[in-house]
Amino acid sequence: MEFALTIATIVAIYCILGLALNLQFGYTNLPNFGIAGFFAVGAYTSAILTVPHRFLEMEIFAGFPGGVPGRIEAPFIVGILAATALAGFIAFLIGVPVLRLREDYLAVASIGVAEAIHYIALNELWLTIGSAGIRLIPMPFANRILYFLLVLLVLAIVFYVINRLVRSPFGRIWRATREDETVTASLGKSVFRSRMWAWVIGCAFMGTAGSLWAHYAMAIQPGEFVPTTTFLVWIFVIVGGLRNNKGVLIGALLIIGLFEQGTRFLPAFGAPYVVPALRLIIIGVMLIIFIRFRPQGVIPERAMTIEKHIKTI
Amino acid sequence: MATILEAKEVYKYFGGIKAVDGFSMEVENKSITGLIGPNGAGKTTFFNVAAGIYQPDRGDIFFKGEQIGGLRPDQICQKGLTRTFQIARGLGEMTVWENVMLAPKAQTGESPFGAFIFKRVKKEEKENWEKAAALLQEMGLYEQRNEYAKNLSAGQRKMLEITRAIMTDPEILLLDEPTAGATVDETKKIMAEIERLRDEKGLTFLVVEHKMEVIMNICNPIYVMHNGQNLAVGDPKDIQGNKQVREVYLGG
Ligand SMILES: Nc1ncnc2c1ncn2[C@@H]1O[C@H](COP(=O)(O)OP(=O)(O)O)[C@@H](O)[C@H]1O
Ligand SMILES: [Mg+2]
Repeated sequence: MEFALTIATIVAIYCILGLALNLQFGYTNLPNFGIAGFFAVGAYTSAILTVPHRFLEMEIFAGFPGGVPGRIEAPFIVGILAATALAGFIAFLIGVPVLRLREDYLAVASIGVAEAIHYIALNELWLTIGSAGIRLIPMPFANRILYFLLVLLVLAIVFYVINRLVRSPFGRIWRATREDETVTASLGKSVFRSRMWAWVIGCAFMGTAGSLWAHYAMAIQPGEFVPTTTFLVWIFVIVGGLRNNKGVLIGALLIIGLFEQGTRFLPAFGAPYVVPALRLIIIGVMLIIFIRFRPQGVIPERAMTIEKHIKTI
Repeated sequence: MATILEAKEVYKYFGGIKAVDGFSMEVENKSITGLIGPNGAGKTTFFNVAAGIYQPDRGDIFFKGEQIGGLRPDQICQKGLTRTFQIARGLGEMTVWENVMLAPKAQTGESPFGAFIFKRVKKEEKENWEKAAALLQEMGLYEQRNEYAKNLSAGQRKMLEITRAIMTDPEILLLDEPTAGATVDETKKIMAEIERLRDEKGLTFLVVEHKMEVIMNICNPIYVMHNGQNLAVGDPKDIQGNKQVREVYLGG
């Protein structure tokens, strides 16, 4: 039971990352290879704002015997909102120069940013306590079932907001931009503005997910925010079905729930690295099978009729 | 009659290629002005400059007396000038209805916050669809409204593009070979639609065409472009009787 709850919470947090990537890459064609970076910004922001003013690691590793000044021990809600806002703001700063260029540059820039954020987490001891990480992050309710329900609630909100945006006239501009910038601009739409919003909203939600993770794990370390996290998200979004938000949820359940997490507690056999290596291999093979035989994913994008659209918008 | 669009000695070179080489023209309000010339004359490039896709190297472009040379395409469209493309660029992964509903200007739901003003978005979507549905009927595309644009025929895609351009509610439409790839029937329909929109809605058209029956039937005046420069201008009769024009077209 404990085990199922753990997996469910992790899957739900990954779902938020997947929905955010789908918004960016699926609907707007913005390749974000820095997911782990924005996830880390959210986790660290929330942790730093809410963690106790004094604790041992700070005194030993970071050299602040009296505790770090300026730690405000804010409530969770402040942490998660600030995490969302800061991740979005950093995305905006990157977007201003990069989104005027071609999408490909964003791929490179986002990798760079994630690396820079990882570097800060490792080296700015006064802020992040380096590789020892931050502990004693408070979990609201201190009850894992209630916390899981909170994560589900946030997931539902993110799902709803992204779905609404994608269906709205705003989302039409995203999808048009994805296909043909010149045509979209010639119809009076600002391509830069539409991309910027998709980029900022997506990264902000990744920050939200980071905050949820930090308060669930109650301890975070720089080593968790590495490219593997980013690629897992990419894999399940592609498997689940780019441009279909329900598909993304199913992809997360399959890849993260069943394989990545579900196999973690399998009895080990052979050398200690055999089981983790097998897990990665299986995930890799699944990705290849999907790209080869079902590139549209488990659930492909579906067009809505105008009659249904008018009724339900 | 008033001039709505005026180009004054516009230049656009690509390296050594003098695509537009000091071209000038005036388009009168509510006219259907033709722009013809052999392949490579610079017509499409001139459209791209007028619509903001390229910056002119030199020269001025005035729309309703205001300099628009150097503005971005979306800004120029917002001012009331919309263009279509020589090779139909339907947004193929979107349905016909989504293509035409993309176009209307200043939709409430076009911002992340506006998208959540439910009542207004719904009302606007209904109104825009009423307009779009009528136009699609007119074009004979209504039955295909829920199809992906990529599944349409070449001529249908041209018509979709024109419909979409009209949905931006422009004052002037720049059509780059609107009947290319269209069947005889579709060509007639497109011609009739252009005239109807001019007569009923007071729209102005600048039309690049190769089909002589289109040009000579609905365009007046007609500008002839050659090597990026002005070769001739006049009504269909003048142009048909112009020796230089014949030479350029017949390669003589
Ligand atoms: N983006 C471009 N780069 C380089 N040369 C171009 C470009 N666009 C057009 N040209 C050249 O400019 C000339 C005019 O082309 P275009 O405007 O397409 O003529 P038209 O539409 O009258 O057939 C041609 O020689 C063409 O090859
Ligand atoms: Mg051309």
